Amino acid sequence: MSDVAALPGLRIALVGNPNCGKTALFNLLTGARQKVANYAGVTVERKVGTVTLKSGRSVSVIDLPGAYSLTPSTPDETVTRDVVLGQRADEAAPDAIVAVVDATNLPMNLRLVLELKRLGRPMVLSLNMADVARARGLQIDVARLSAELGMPVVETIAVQSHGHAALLAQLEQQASWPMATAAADATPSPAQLQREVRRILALVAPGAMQFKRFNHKLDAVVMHPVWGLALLAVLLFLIFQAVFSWANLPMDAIKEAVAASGEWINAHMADGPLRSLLVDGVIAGVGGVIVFLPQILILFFFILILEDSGYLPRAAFLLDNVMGKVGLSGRAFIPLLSSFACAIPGIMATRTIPNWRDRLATIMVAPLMTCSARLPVYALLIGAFVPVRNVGPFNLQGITLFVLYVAGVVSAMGVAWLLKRVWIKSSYQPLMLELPPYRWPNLRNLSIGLWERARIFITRVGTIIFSLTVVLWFLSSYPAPPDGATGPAIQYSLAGMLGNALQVIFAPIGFNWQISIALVPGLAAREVAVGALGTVYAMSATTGEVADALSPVIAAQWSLATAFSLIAWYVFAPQCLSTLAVVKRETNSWRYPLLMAAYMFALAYAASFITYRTTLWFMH
Amino acid sequence: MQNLLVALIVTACTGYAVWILIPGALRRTAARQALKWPWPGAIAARLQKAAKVSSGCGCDGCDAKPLKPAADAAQPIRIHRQPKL
Repeated sequence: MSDVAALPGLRIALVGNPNCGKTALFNLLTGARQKVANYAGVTVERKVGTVTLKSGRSVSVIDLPGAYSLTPSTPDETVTRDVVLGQRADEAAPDAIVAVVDATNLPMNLRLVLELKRLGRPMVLSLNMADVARARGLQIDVARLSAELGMPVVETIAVQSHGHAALLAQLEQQASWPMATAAADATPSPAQLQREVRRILALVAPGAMQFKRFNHKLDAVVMHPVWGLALLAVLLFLIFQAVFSWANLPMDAIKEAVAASGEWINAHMADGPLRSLLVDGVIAGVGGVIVFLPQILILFFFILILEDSGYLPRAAFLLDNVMGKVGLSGRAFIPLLSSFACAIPGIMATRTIPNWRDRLATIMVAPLMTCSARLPVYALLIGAFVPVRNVGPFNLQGITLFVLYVAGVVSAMGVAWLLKRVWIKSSYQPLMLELPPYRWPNLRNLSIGLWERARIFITRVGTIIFSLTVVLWFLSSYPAPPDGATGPAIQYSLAGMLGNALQVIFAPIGFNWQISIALVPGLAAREVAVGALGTVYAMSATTGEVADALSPVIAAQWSLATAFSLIAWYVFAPQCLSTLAVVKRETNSWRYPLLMAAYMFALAYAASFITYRTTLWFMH
Repeated sequence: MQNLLVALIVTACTGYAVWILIPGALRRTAARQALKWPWPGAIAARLQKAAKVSSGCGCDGCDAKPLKPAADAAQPIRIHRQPKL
């Protein structure tokens, strides 16, 4: 063992077609929790993890974006090509390649394997989803396949806890893998490669060419131009109903826990600045945000199911016509959908779009999709101003949330339409996207996905939201009011002065000075605005009612016009600073993030102004 | 005592918020400068991570190097006739 452990660390790269299970295998090998879903283009950047073999040898595993060939047509395929060929400035080529193939789709997947083999590197073939292929009657002669390809072949099941055992055993013997000779002749054409794939499959898996991966009866309904769209609308509608209907119980429990902790501190700590910081700052601010965790988890529960089932790429095809009409590529659907979680992975996912102008248009509208950071703001305002009653069998609050999400989508489409006509003009690019087979959502993936969302949210609450809430509490508390002051102390503080200065700008759209203050830390992360409102109102109050619940306080103090105006603001609200940083990095220019911030601010202001004035007009 | 604790908490939170929100290039420069001082292991490790080009930047983190915009060329679609076996 000591001899092997003394060997230098091994670097292997997982390479394969999109959606063949590379990232699931990477997670299994390294214990990482990278995002996995049943469609092509989830991984757009290289990720590195480490596994220590039984022998003690350390192996660095590089997970790469899926690629159909080593001749890239999209930025994410370029990443794969560069890493495999050692063309990245900051890293050498991997020591060995693990070619991952989907055993149910060998005619497509083996072509890349033949290309990789020509590089002359030590290789092993991972026959992933071997269990699915076998269960559906596809016989693969693994020994013959290994002989034909001239490399070890192992079966893997990346969604089972020990599905990588054979691959680990092969990694132990990596030193003995046969070294292929780099091909010196001209690169064969795709047609020549495909001919070779067919020859091999005729010998090792005669049933592979006729293997049926799709359920055409189901697709006839799901992808029907009318019924398919109706099904999509109903699905999304029901999801938003569930977000409000199912979340009540856990939200009430969290609210009670937050209120109880505030009361406990008030009862057990002497009056002073620390008590004020904990009750008015931390509990009113952070507690006001964490209460929305159940709603975020319910929303992602459904999104993860749709992702894992293979439904989402079908929705992309259904909406390709709409996307084409506004000038976006059909491939923009997945990045825009990713933006429902957060605009940052959505913007990074645009790397799957080959045409630069289409990619730029998608980047520019991605922040208009309703990211999960807006959900706490929407939920707070809907909870405070939309009555809890049913419209037919549906919950009115759920309907309102659905309408707000639709408003985000419609505004993104509208802006894209305008951008593609006046600025980033390009011709329509037909949608070429590989459809995955339907699969039952994997419980492990679902659990990991939900855990990751919860972890991300709680980490944000515990770090940036907590920090900004404390800073805002300080700015709201100091300097102390002068002797003889009659108003709440916050009005004389730095935050109060800032709020009053900003109110000059925001008064025409109905925002008071408290809202104006909350918008500033909201630039760091949108949900901080909820925590900031909690802190600002707690500091303005004479009793502890805000630490218990912000919703009834704003319901009593704001007009309906102000609430609607703030909702309209957050449909278009200028994105957080992290999003701007990613746009700068992905476009290599400050021009685009600055343009983005400017147009979104203008759009948000105009929408709030119109909403505020129209609501006032209706109310009088 | 309460005043001292509040001062410590507010200072730490302000420092953290500034560190997270400043532009990445400035943070990397600051981290490289700070590494010239002796720090405890955990802080030094975090500073070394921050000094690298690949910095976390958002909800899910992202560690890509900048990609140059691709040329605005339409991708030709080649259709290959299925060869007869």
